Amino acid sequence: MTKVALAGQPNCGKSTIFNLLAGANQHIANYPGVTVDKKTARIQIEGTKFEFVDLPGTYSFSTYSLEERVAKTFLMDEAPDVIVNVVDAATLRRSLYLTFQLLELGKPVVVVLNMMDVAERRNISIDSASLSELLNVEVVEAIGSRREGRQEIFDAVRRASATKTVEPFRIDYDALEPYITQLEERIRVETALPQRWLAIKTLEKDQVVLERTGISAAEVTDLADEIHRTHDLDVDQAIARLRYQNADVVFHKCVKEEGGSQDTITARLDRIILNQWLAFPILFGIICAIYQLAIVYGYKLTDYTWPLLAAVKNKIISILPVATSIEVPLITDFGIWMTNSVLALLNYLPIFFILFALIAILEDVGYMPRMAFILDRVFKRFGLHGQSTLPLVLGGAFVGGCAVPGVMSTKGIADDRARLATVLTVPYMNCLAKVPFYTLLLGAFFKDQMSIMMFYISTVTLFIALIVARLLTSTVLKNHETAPFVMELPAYHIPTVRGVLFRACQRVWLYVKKVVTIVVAVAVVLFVLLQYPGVSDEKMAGFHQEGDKAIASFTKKASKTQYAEFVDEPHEVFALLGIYDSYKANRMLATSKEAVAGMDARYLAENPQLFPLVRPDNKEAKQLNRQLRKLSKVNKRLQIAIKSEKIRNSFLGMFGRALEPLTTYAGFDWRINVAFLSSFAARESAVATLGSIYEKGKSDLSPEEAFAQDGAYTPIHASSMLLFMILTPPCIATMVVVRLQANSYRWMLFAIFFPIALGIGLSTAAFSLALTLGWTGAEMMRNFYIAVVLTTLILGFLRTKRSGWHVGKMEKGLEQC
Amino acid sequence: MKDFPVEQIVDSGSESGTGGSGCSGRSATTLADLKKNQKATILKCSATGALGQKLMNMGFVPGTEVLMVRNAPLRDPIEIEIHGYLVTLRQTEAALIQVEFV
Repeated sequence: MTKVALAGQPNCGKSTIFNLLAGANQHIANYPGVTVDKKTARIQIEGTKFEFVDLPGTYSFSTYSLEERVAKTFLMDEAPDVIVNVVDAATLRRSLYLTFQLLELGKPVVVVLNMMDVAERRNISIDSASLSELLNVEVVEAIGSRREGRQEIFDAVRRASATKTVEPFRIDYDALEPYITQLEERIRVETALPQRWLAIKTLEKDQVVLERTGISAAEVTDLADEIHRTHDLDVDQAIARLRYQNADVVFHKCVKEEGGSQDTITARLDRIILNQWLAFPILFGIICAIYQLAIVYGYKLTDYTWPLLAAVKNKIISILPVATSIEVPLITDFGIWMTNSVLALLNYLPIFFILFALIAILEDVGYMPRMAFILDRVFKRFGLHGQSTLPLVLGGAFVGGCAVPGVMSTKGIADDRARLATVLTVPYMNCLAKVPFYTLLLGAFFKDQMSIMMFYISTVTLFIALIVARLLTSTVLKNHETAPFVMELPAYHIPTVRGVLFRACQRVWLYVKKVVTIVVAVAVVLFVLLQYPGVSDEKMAGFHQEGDKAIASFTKKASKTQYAEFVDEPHEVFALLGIYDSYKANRMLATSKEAVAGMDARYLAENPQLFPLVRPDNKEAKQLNRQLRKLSKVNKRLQIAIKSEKIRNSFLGMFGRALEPLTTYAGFDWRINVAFLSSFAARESAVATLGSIYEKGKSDLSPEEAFAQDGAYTPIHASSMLLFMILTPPCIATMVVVRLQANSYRWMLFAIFFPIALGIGLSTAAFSLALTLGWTGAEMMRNFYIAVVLTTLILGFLRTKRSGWHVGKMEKGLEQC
Repeated sequence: MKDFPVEQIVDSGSESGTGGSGCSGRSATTLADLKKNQKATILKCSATGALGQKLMNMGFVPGTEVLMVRNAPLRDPIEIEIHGYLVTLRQTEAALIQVEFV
């Protein structure tokens, strides 16, 4: 098998070339121990097996950035047979900087001149034959976006892998050469890597290489001092300068630039997009458009996809055993619980798909770094990065978003500390699934102040996120590695439909694979915790008695009708109830008259005797149908009562009660605790659990009314609950992606418990203040809002101290001006 | 790798003859001083550690011509054209790169 590594500078179109070569059979994993994506693909072409590995894009192979370390370590340890160096043809000169370093590795190199069309448009003509001759390697022209050059690259790779002796272009390091030779002789390591390369890297004080050669950093520093003394040269800068000078020479020999490259399309577009006055409106417009398309329309799209999922759900329920008494069989309960948990997440797939596609478009177009350019000054103040904008917006900057794509989109943030801070703060944004909870509480306690309360809720989150970010970056993340803000603004590109869809699908699949599996596991645990140890026998007997009475009354009523023989046994009555409930559920999904007719026919065929009672066609059946409806209501009520009792007695219920002494200061009783605990698998569960605890048979009341009439809570309690929900940790799905992006369980646990502590702390404080000062619930919310906004502003005006990396001292004269 | 010690200002070398920094009493021109559309040549880069390496890798080496393209809307990061491509960096970082007007 021929092992091929793809290397190139950022924005050179390396991924496009990789996709071009690999097609759909790609495998994405992480490089060991880091969050850098490792894409590999195995393909067989004309009898030759290839394994392609896409290295992270790097400008060079120094030790300072994670990507560079990863790429370098791979090239050193995995010994690829051929290195494919993808080069942006339009910026050949600086691309050669990396090419020279790849040539020094002594492996066969194939240079792929990508984006030849762009170069052509800019009147840059490259003589690839003489480039090939000069560098003494294969040079292939390609246009990745138009899928041109695939065969040529394969051919070149095959030819390159066949050549044994490689004598590529070699940079003459001039005054440094004697020192390189001297080091070469010192290095005695068993390795396939060329001595010369190790020597150069040693001279560059490359930590990874120093570890292997065993030469101490101090020794190299002494050498550098000597060079400085004798030649007045700084080693690093001298090497860089020589590489650029060589690049200049090669460039001038192979490239002809006609006319000024002044007015490129990119320059023209930037004059508008980065315009001092237009930049913000455009940015705002783009964010609104993403929000509208993904969250709003995506949510609407779920109206169409939900029936499909609901049909699946009904199908699963229809397979599960039917209740033969008021007690629902455990397996049925479990089946429904699991189906609900998974479907709640799958329901968001349309939103995720649109979001991921839009992000892919923004990435391909080249707008992401420009967003950072526009907003960096604001975010810098809070320890974030300009590129934190999009993750925060996706997390829910307006009414609701989702932290999952938000956290996933932090990948591109160049500064590791800011990236981690963003990962940890996105979950504070407004989760879409929290909205039902908000509406429930607002509907119950703040009918008149609904809109202003919603305004507080939906805007306070961004301020909280900023405060938390500032807090984290100046404390726990203080010493975390950070990168200088030096970023390329790549030329604008038109994204390809294929590439965008491919990436969107890839990310959705990643979500399904990673998140859903873990949610399933957590849902099982929660189910057990909510189900056991169960209802006491006496209580259960009471429920059974009530149920039997209702059944008996129904059977008695039916005994005088023609249907008597079909429903004289309790299990027959329950079978009838089962048909009734399933018909009702399916009926809600049927959209057309024809569908209803078809469904009726199907049900009738399956249950010829009982179905007429569900859909009565004569007077007698109609009367009995009324009774059936009543019975179904009683049955439902009893089931809910059992469920509520079960939760009360469950482990989770006990836990909720155990927490009560603590949470009571925030105004939460055990029922609220259980609702919060159970919502950890998916936020939607909070409302459902609350519902099943509160619906004590008053099923004709809406949940809002049931809640308001409960009597145990005042609007202050409600505000406190809202506060906690705003700050509360996100769902397990978010935690999974936090763990993926932060690449550490420690940060995941931190992301779970820090918000809980913060939420309990703040809601306790606000609740107590409200009680002592006599605020109403709405006043409490308003005051909290004001406090948060003021804190944000104060923090924003405080200067951050620079730490983590240091820049050289500024020139003295500079500080004066 | 977390901490890059502040090192002494690294002298970029022999190339530029423009006197010792600070001696003249007048402040040296840096990248941060450029106005929109002004061109300059890099004299030396006083940044060390990660920043120094990054700048070097991206082509900020003495003798290179740079063009100040624009300020960000909030003034702070600036956009520079170098080696035919666009780079943005913060003022604090740009202030470490000494230039000479063309």
